[in-house]
Amino acid sequence: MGFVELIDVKKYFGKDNPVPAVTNFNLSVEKGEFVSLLGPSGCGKTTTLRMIAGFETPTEGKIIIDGVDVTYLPPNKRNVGMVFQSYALFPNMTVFDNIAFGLRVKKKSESEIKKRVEEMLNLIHMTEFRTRYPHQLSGGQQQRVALARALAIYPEVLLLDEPLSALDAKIRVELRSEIRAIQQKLRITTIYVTHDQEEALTMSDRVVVMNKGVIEQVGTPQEIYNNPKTQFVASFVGTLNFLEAGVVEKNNGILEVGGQKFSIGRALSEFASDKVTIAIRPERLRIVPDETCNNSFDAVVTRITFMGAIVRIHVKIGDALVACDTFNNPKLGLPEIGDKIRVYFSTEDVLVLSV
Amino acid sequence: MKKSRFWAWFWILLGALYFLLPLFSTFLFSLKMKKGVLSFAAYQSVLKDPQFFKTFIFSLEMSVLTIIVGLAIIVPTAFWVRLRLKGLRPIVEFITQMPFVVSPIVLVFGLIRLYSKPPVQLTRTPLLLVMGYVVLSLPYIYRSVDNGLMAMDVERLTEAAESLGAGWTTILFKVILPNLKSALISGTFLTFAIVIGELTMASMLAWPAFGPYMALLGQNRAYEPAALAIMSFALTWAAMGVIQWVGRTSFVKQEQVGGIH
Repeated sequence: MGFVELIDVKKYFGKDNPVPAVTNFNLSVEKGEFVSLLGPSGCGKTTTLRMIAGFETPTEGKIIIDGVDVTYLPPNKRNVGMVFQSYALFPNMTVFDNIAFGLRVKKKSESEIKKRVEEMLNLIHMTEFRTRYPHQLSGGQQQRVALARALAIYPEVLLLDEPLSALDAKIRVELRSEIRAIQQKLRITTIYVTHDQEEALTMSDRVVVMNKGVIEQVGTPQEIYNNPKTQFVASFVGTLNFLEAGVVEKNNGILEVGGQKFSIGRALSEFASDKVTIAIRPERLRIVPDETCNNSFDAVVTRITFMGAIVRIHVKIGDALVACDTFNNPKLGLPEIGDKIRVYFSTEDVLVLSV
Repeated sequence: MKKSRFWAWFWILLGALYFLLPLFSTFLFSLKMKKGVLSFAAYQSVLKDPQFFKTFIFSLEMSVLTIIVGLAIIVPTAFWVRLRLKGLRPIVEFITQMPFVVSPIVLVFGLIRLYSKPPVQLTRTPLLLVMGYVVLSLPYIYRSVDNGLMAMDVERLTEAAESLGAGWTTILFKVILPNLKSALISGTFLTFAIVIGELTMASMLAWPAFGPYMALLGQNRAYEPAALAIMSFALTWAAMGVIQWVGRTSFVKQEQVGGIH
């Protein structure tokens, strides 16, 4: 049994016409694990987090934390730390008092409070800011204080609801590694809600991809990225080229796109139809061959997009439009629009998704 | 650019004259009690009158009681409406706007009719007057408190406090009320300004309040009512000044530290 268990959790909003926000949600989070709930807006990830925090009550199902059924326990009895997107620092209190708030509620001694708050200030590298008020801090600093405040009460679980969404890109990248480092240092069980795949992939031990209130896939960041189980996961996490392919030889795994045959290196016995959808990530398509590439297409360059470190080359294979990424290396000559090039890939790079 | 600035100043001056000219005339008139000289004799006459202090203290007490009862009713109501009972918001807003629709004379007759005979007889106690004043001040207190709650993201702050183990009393007294300071002060002084000069209810319920005293003085004297009007204005302005000052001090605090990031 996991440290945090969500068993058959369902949440409906509205009385007359109940709208499902989360359905049949089952998840087991191990102690000390960092799990991200990833999905688009309205997929139910925040509702799930709020049910764990106690701000929403499940319509059905159970929530268990450390063996205790907390489904109907009010939030102030759960010992769960929560960090909000809007920081939610108490404007009338200094940084010190904000962090001390939970400890004062728990009626800890002043010496104990002082010691713990200093410990937290050290953890977030903000000891010199203890007398400042929230409006005297930048967004990133406010969020670090919010994190320290949530951690100060020794919570069993740390919940973060899109904590970096309101920050600018540079601070976001800095803070996400800081949050991950703190989580690993304290080994605290953490559930993190985000719609940003990069955040989820870089920070988490496991990622739960959600769509329309249900779990699409649970797995490590590598599993989610490299082996998406559904078309939604494949399209939501990273960029993918989807191609309609005709099945030429089912047993030998030979397919064709735009009249060009290629092999996927395995039989397609599970697919009954003579057409399948295949997916290839842009970074798996190469314009220069290497020894791993055992397939290739003839293509025509239609557009070139400069993206900084990466250059995205859009090509046409038959009628299909495909993007392939290459590192921005000024020494390598890039093709021109209208050039006929060859695009290389290996059998392992092809994901056969569905009919 | 210059043209638009000219018209802006023109309208500002016109507005200021519309407001200040009658005030200045009243002030000038209040200084003319003694023939041929300008003096504060009318003000001295008012301040010497024991009825002035008696009625003023009575109205002051009533306003304090109104503020206490009004805040005790409105703060938790507005908090709950914003937090949990969002569906009730239009109803609460409608109720709090009622004093703008139902005039004090209608309200006071209703109160007299309902509370002048058993089982609940309140016409002989100032409690009925306070109740009436609470109703009159509802729109002002509710609007101030609601605006204050809207400005502070009450939902997230409450949830943050809850997740840290706080119960409702702690949330209300340690988190919500301290952040409502300027809203509460604003509601308080607006209520004070209304109650201190209120005439209809106090005279219909026959209480020796400041409003009826001013009206009585206006009927019997010439210069003193003008002096009293100016004093009343000064008092209201002082109250407004305090509201501005409280609002400004918290704003200045934020401005000063803007560069410390």
